[in-house]
Amino acid sequence: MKFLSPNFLHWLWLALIPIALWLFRRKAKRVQVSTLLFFRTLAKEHQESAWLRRFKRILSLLMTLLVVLLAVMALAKPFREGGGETPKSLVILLDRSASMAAADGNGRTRMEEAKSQLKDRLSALPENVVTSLVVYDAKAEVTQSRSTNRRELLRMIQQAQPVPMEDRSDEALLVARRLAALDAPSEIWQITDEAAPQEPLTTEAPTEGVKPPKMRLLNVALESPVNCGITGFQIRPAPLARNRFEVFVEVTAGRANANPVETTLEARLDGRPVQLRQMTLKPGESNRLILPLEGGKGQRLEMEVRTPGDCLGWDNVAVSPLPETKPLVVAWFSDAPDPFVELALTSMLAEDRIQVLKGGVKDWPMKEKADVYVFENWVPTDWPTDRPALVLNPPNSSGPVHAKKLGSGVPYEAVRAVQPEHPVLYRVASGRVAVTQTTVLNVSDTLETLWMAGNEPVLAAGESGGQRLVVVAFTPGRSEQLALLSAFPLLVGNAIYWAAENNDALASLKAVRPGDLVEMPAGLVKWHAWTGTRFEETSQDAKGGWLELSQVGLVDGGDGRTLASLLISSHETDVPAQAKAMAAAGPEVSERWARGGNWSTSLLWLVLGVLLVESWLFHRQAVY
Amino acid sequence: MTASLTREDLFDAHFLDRLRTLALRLRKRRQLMRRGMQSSPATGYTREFKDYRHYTPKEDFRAIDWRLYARLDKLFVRLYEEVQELHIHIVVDTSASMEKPFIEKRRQSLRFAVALAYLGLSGQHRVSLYSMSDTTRQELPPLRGQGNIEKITTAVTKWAYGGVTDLEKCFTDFRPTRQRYGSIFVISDFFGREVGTAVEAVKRAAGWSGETHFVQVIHPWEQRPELDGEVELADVETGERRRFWITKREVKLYAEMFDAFAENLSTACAGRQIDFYTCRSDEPFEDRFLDLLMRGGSLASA
Repeated sequence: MKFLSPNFLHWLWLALIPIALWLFRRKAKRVQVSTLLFFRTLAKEHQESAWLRRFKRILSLLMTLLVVLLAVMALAKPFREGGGETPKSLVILLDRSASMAAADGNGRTRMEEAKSQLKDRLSALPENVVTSLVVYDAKAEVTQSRSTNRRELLRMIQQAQPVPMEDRSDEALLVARRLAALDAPSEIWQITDEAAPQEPLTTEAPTEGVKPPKMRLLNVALESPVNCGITGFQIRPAPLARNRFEVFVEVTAGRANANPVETTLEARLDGRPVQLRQMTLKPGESNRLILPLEGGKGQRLEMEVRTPGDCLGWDNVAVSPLPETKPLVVAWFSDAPDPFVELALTSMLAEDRIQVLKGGVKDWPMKEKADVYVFENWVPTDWPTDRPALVLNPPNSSGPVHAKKLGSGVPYEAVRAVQPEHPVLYRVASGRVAVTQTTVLNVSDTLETLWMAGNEPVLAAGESGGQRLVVVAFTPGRSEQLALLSAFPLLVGNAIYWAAENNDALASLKAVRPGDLVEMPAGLVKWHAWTGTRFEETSQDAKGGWLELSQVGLVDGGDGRTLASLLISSHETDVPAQAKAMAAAGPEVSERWARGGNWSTSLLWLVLGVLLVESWLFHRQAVY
Repeated sequence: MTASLTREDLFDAHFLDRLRTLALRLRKRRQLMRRGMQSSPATGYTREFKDYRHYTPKEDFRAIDWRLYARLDKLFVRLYEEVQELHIHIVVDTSASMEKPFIEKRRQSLRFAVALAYLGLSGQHRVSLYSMSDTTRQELPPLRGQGNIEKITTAVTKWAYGGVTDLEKCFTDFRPTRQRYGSIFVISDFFGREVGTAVEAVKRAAGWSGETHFVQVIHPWEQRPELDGEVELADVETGERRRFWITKREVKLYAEMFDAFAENLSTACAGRQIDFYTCRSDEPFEDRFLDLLMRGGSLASA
């Protein structure tokens, strides 16, 4: 038997007090009386024989000593050793990612289960073991570092709450190993719902003579979770339509689901249902939907997935304001403008979706930057690296464009689509197109050929320096029927849209994730937060103009800017299940040295029992 | 606590001198056997005129009152009072409980005994002194005459106290003869072996030839013991020791039992025409003694 708090054993000297009192006890006062006639009938129970009185006195002393002994032992917390080596330090890695908020049928979250298991285990932990607590989600936070203050540790564990963030245990493991190495031999307890935790980012070479820490996994995953959540979400204005949007949603079922689940996807605009889709998802299956919506700028769009028995609420909702549609600004620089290019660009102005700024060579460079540059028959010497570009018939090489002008041009009766599925060729009928090549292109590694005319590439697209680039090696005016076909305006439109796809003007939804640090006006910001079961209106203080997002929902900065904080994570939506082998072997794989019995409570009950027996034996007739 | 008493403790000359003007008497006049100082219903030959009676033949003609014959022309004889000898029996409890732990009880009881003896001797009565513990012993033969008070005083100061009170045996052994009819004073605390022993003993005392007076001498502590907590009580007579946890509740119960004991004893005495008188050892002796004589009907002017 060992003691968790052996320093309390010093209090055993208290037993000397009753012994001293017993040895130097006050003898009963002897009083001579004329007769015992009237005393005899008073208190019969005191008329005991000498041996019985002596026996009771010794018994009383022994019981008092027993009370002192039991009380001191209770304070010293004896425990039965379960075997195994007691470490010098213990590092607790507590997962607080979103999946730890998964609740079982009784509403008990994984975090609560983790706290309960930790509390049980820590109650049997020797007091001299140095403990550290690392709480992690996407990043690790050391909330207690190398301390023997068990009460503080329990308080910090109790304060830990799951956050709607992904977990990345590699960084936390690295921190934990570094902490463990300071007080070897050590153990690391990782409490998570992940069946197989990640390895640390870098494996440090173990110090010579220092035992590597033992890793123990306390898996608190649900035995049979059911979860379905939104793992993809985007909004964009519908092409060629005003106040119409396309919403992309990906709904994924957890791989640990036991059976296919029936789930309902509901779209609401300002709380008014506008779309309802039902689907059946097999375990691990994803369903991607594009939902058309009509709505005005600033309206709140809520997408909610409802699944019977769903254990995790944070991933059930994606919420965002409908984006404001800004025109795409296209700056067209041409040395000799082709009328068919102008016609193609003008055709797009009708929908007020593209604003075309026309300029000549002398206008370069522009004071105000456009979203997309179109260079026709001319390329700037200093290639713009911060914007995508569409280059038509480049006369020479510049930047990523490697071209050489042909004198008279080479006509081709047909072109061959190398990659007909490329977005630039969307709905472009390549079969009837005849072109006259006016430029020889040298397609670099970062560009890929889309059209081949003969053996020459005449249309290429790709990325260079992080910006998209489309190069056309022919002119519509000199090509036979190209100018009369719809293929060319479509090609130009596709090229502009594809090139500007990552532009702010097109990328409507800029979702952020909980845990991100965003710039906000200093002061209180309002949250339309999703708690997992319902929306709540709360507020948060953005100190110093920065706000660390901590919830799922919409955050209104008060300056007209509204951010959508979303947990879009297939990792968290895929709530893991308790591995059967691990569940069955739970007690065996866990540390045995701290699993022995803690007898403090039993001893305290025993103390109470002895006190009661002593009171009954010796004091039950006393009248005070 | 000393067990010795001096003569001065018992013999208060000033007080006894005051007693000279008093005399003992019986509550009821009764024909006694021997001549003495006690007036009796009989006629005798003292100088104290008592009455006249018609002369009848064969009477002593010397008793005829000739002056009255001269006036009335009838013969009357003069009758004189007859004084007879009265016996005073004083029985003093000499068991250990009368001395220990409160010697005041011994002093008080002996004061009563000496004062009664003095009153008897000064009244020319015969005084007998007995000690009583496990049995009754006559310590001195019947004495008469005031000069014997010294004997009595000396005797009682030398008494050895001890033994167990056996009231029944003592009262059975003490049996004054009819020739010694008189007043019997029993001075004791009347603590017997059992609570009811004293009442049983009263029945035996009822058969004594004489007027009986019980004088109970107790100490105030015996009425209301000042005890608290765990104590070991030792009986001074039997040596028996017992351990008690005394609280206020026990003290109250004890007092009630003691009062009930005294009340029972008083009632039993009253039922048998025995005068019962209780005196505490801390009370002034003179007042209590005179009170005893007056309320018991034993006092007469000399």
